[in-house]
Amino acid sequence: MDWLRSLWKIKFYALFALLIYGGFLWAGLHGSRWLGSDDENTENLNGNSHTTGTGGRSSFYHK
Amino acid sequence: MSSALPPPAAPAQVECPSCWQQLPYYDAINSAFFGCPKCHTFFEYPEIGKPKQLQKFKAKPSMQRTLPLGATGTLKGVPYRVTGYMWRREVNSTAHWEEYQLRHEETGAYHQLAVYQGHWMLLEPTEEQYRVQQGNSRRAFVETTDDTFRLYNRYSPRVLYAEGEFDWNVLDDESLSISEYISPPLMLVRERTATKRVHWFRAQHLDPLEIQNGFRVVNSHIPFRTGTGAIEPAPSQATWPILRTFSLVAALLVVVTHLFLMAWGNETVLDTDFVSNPQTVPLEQPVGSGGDRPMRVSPSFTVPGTGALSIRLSANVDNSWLELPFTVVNEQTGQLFEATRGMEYYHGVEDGESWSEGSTETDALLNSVPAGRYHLNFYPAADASNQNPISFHATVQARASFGSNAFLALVLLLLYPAIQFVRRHYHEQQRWENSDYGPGAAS
Repeated sequence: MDWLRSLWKIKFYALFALLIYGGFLWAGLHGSRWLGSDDENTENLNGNSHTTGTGGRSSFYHK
Repeated sequence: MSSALPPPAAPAQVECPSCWQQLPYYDAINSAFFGCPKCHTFFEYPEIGKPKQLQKFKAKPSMQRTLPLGATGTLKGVPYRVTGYMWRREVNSTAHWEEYQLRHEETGAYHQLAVYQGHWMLLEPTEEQYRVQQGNSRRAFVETTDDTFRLYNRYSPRVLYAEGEFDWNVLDDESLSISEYISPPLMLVRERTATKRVHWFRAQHLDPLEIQNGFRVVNSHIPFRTGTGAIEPAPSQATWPILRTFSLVAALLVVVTHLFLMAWGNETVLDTDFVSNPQTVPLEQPVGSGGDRPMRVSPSFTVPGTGALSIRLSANVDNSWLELPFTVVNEQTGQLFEATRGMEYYHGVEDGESWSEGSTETDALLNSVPAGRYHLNFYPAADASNQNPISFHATVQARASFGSNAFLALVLLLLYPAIQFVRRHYHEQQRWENSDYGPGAAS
């Protein structure tokens, strides 16, 4: 109980830490890097695309 | 006016033997020494016999008095009356401080309220006897069941001025050797008389607001705080222990989770070599146009679950470069991921010293790649002067772990505690800069 009472003193930090840890766990399990993906493709599954690759490609090859 | 209410009339009066001023006083039983605010005479008024003049103070403090004699107030829930005032200094220092004599309104016990550079503390006598360890050292300390009190100051006082009533001859204090041991916000004060008798006092820090509210003093009469007080609590004093523990536990949890993710994922799903003819088309040549680059297609592989996909590439570049655009193709949905990575490695000897730059390896990380069956398409392009076949190697890991999230999470979690730590460290440094003793002192 004492521990909980003292935890109440830092409730905002504790909440913040909980959010950070939850976000970290979720991102880890879903493979989402906070700093961004190296994926340069902006095409969606509907076929609309906008590429920004350095190779200058404007279309994609399928096997 | 320092107090909203005028002090009530004192139950008794005594006459100054020097100027005949009538001095009110409140403790008719114990008070025997008096300081006259009019002529600055300090005198004894014994139960039997005539009053005896002991000293005439030359100086009267010029600063604004926060609490007038007779004022009543409450500190830490205890009702007090101000019955005396002293202005003191250390023998071997220019440090001056004020001391108010407070009388417990219910028990009649006397406590002292000291203020130095705007920092307040309340002292009360204790019957407890403490044992000083390493007593002859500058790092002397007192160990109690709860805390370690470190030596902060040693001095003998000089009484520059006194007024009001006292139950002891304050001038005798000049023969005292005083040692102060601190464990903020508490202090243990040891007073040793010339006859080696020892008395201990316990002091606690008071916030100026407690004085202001407890005695109903207007803010402008509270002395301005300068520097760091001897027992002024460091920032976040109340929350620091739990903040430190909680943040370290949270950081440890992040590290353990990261290790778990590393063990759980990083499954190699493709590990293949590729060989391609050298391609001499200019880099500006768009892929898919007439002079297209050759394509190399990897075997299919299965990504077992949604997660990051790590693609590590290495090539046999030797004083040459290779540009390697590639796409990751989901064979079931057609979803594409693409990236371009270049590798260049140059080395040689110049002026007798070998040099090298670049790397034969690179990698890419694709976020949140869904489970499914995939293959890779590579579109290599190399230096036009390179006539050798291009050889490169690709390793793909599914549900790849990456340290950057853990690093960012640790930075975010530890930033606030780190700031508090630095503030506290600076505060302690400032505190001990005012002392010739303590942890940093030479023994």
